[in-house]
Amino acid sequence: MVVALPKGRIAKEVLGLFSQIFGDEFQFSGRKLILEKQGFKFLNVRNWDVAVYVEQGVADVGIVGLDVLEELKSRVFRLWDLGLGKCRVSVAGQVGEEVEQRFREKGKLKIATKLTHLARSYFEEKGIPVEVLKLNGSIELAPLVGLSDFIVDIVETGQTLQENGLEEKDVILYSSAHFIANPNSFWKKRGEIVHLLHQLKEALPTERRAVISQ
Amino acid sequence: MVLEHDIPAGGRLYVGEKARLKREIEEKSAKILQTEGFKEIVTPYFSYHQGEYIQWDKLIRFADRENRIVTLRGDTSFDLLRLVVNRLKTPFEKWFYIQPVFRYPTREIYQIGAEWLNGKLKDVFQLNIKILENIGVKGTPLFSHWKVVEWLLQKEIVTPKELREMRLDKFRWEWLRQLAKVSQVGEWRKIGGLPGALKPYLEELDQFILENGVTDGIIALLELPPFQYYTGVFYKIIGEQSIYARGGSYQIGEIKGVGFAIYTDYILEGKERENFQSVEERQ
Repeated sequence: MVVALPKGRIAKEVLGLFSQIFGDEFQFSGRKLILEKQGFKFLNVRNWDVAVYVEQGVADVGIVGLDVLEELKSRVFRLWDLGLGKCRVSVAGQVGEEVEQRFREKGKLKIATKLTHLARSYFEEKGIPVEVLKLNGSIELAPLVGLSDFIVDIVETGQTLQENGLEEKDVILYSSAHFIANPNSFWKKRGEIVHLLHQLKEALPTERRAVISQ
Repeated sequence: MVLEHDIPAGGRLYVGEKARLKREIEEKSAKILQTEGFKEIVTPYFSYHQGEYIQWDKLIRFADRENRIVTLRGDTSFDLLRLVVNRLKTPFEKWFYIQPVFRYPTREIYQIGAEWLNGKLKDVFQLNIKILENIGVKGTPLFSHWKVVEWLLQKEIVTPKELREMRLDKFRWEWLRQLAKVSQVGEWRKIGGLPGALKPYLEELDQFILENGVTDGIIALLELPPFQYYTGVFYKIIGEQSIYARGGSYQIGEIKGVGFAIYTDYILEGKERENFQSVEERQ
């Protein structure tokens, strides 16, 4: 079975779970991208690419945040919410500046974000016309220098926002890491996949476990 | 900006050996279908009726001279049946086609398909397998029953979204989680608390698999059918990374039939992967 594991935000917690399951240190050595262990092949890919590897069937299963799945509209099975790496996808802006008011003043808003689909559909639902600017990092900078009116970004503690004079205006999505599977792989390798899911749940801290049948 | 060499995403371009292989697959399939008494039909690329069975946003739409909505065909089966029954008014029941379908925004999908009005699913399944064997394709058959899913949805035991995403964590019933795991004939009999209403459909599915002598198949009871017109048992044949064929029994209006479609593009991709792997192994 091929497992796609994420680099980045949720990597540490996820690799920690696999260390528990496989009973020793679970590390991709140096710059290695493939790790083989006990009949499994693990691929070390960027958080954003986990869903692509699984959707295309190159990996059977993977772990990735709901924010990524929703942004990419990935056609994968989202088997289980592992409850790891919790965060929010939020609209944020400068303290005291309100979205509705700004929209009434300008008639159209500029939104800076990495999550362009989520941002666009949120404002479409609200009936607010927006120009969405795709950024790849330091999203918080955009409203401070007049690049955008508001941002849509991932918020964990809110500290970065606070330190930059920004605040959350609304939450679009509550996200956490999900155990996902390629549909064909799931049907073909159900026994192995459900077993791995069970092991992952066992390795989770007690408060995050829920009932799963073997 | 569109460059000189650009083709729209989802467009198909087959050149040289791959185009030859595509032609060979189509010719071999046509020969078998003709030998089995099927008659070929080529249906129009344009249709007024596709929205009855496919979501409008998945179709490529425009207007005709009277400003009525026309689409490129997104599926061949129901246009074929409608034309045979309502336009050609022929009692002939065994038809095959080799032509592409189109999906929004710019996807092209080449298919080889057969429809048998008032036919038996067993016969078209065997025919489907025979064609795949003949063109050198080995896939895993995966069997499902629309009535199982329909019952679960009607009773609001699960939502379409939960099924589409296979949200095991959202399934409220232990028997439902067990049902998701059933992969072999008769396994469902061990599930405690399984609603009796599902049993006739599960028995029908088991019987279909046994009748066909399938030993390498798997059961997927919570698989959503790809089309709204399926009525009973349906199947797909899957490869390493894609679907090689789909089939099932259906009812479109008053017309009952059985049929399958083979996905030529995915078979070509599968063959390319096999070649790549065998070259790697040789090295």
